[in-house]
Amino acid sequence: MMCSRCGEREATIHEVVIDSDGERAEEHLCEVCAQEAGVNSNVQVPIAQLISSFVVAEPGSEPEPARARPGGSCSSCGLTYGDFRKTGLLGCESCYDAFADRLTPLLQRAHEGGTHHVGRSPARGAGVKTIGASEAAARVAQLRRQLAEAVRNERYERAAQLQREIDGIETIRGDGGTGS
Amino acid sequence: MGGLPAFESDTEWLRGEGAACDVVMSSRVRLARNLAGIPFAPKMSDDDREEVLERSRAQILAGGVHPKVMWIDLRQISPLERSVLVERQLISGQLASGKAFGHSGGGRGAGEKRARGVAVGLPDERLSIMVNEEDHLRIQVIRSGLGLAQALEEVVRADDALEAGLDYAFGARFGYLTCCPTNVGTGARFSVMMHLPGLRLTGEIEKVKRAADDMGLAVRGFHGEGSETTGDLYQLSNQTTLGKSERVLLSEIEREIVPRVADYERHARRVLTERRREVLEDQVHRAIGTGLHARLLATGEAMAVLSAVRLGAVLGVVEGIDQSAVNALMLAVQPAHLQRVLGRELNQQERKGERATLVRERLARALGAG
Ligand SMILES: [Zn+2]
Ligand SMILES: [Zn+2]
Repeated sequence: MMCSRCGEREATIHEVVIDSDGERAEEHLCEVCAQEAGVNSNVQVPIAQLISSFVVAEPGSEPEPARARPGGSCSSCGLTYGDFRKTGLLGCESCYDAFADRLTPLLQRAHEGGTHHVGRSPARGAGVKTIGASEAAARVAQLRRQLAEAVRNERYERAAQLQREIDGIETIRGDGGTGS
Repeated sequence: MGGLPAFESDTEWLRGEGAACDVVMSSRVRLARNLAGIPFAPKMSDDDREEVLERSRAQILAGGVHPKVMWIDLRQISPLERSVLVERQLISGQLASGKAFGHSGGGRGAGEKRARGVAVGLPDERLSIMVNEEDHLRIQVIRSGLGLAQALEEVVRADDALEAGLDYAFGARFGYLTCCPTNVGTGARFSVMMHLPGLRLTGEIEKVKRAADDMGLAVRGFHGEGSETTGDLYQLSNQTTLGKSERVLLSEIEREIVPRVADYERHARRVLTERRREVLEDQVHRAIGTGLHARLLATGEAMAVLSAVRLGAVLGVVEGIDQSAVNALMLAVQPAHLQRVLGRELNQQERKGERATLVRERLARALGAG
């Protein structure tokens, strides 16, 4: 298969792209064009694509709270949201706070609805804890609602998946939170 | 080419052992980690990169991470040697080139001098820790066959040992904070490399790709040099990293998805042996013919030959094949390894010739074994 950009070299990188309708499309690139396009083989969903599709899909729906005005930047590293939209990469750990409101819907799209971390956490360091008990409870409640919905619609595969996720959260809480 | 050790052993991912190894080549778990208080790749200064490299190197070599570790400063080895590491799946192409993540400037070759390194666990090369990739640290463990649980256990041990001396960027809400938000949360990517020649021959491979995608998995080919096919090797990995624990991610892919794809491949192989035996035998023997007689072979052609031979061996179309020799050839035909074996740099045309010679000799030996 030839590269879909240059049409000259064989395509060796096959990227699955999810568009605004949740439709799946494939892009086949040669190594040279992939490098130029910034397609990192480690990133399975090109987030830049996700971002633009999100914006196209729901114009004007972007939340605009005070601290994340358009053109605002991370006070710690100076990255603007525009920079992020261009590259799909953040500049520092504080970016997650600076752009939290705008990142949340993107994260939900990229992670099958996930908005909060569940799983291992460092044993040491500042502010370390796994998902808090109340957050976990809220997430479990949300998952249970989705589970009931899935069963109602006879989407049993999805239901099984949700059940596993619920089990996962409950196991981790049962372990006392370190999950290691 | 003095920088690297001989790497005499087979790499783990080509050992061809372990659970479901008729279909699954290897399993990999990779964790993305960043050091607290230091900017991510797009905003790092040269000093930041040096600091990450030095602190990581010190902690890796302090012991506790792995009994025997080789540290490689990627600025100090040649491009060819870096390609050898890429082909062995120890580093990414991006880390090899030093491509500046999130930077547009610099131009070609600007990445060469960027501080970056890799630690490789010896002697089996199962563990590798990339430093200054897209994230400060990318810790990975590869196991032969279907072995994500063992790989997770090993990578977690390395992670704990690193964390004993390094503060990670972590937040209660988003978990391990990564440069790209597609990795945030667990920072864990589970990948399984599968050999799916049966599904290609029965024309069902696209269906599988679609199904895998519906289940939130990414499917991509094995990275070969520009080539028509890549030996029917496909990598399946999770796309979700936030909101699901490592164990849930692991069980979804290892217990649900992979066995289903493996069974689908086995079914295709059964159909081939029972109902389309002639097609199967033709494919395998044609491949052997090419392998034994071709005088010029591109990487992709060589991989296609080896894929068919491997299928023929698994299905008993050809008796007495030394399978490990066939697996080892899949690595030996890659451009950098080929040049390494021959001990000199070759242009593309020379590589095709030398590759054909290598395949001819080694395939004849593998077929004679038994
Ligand atoms: Zn191209
Ligand atoms: Zn920032």
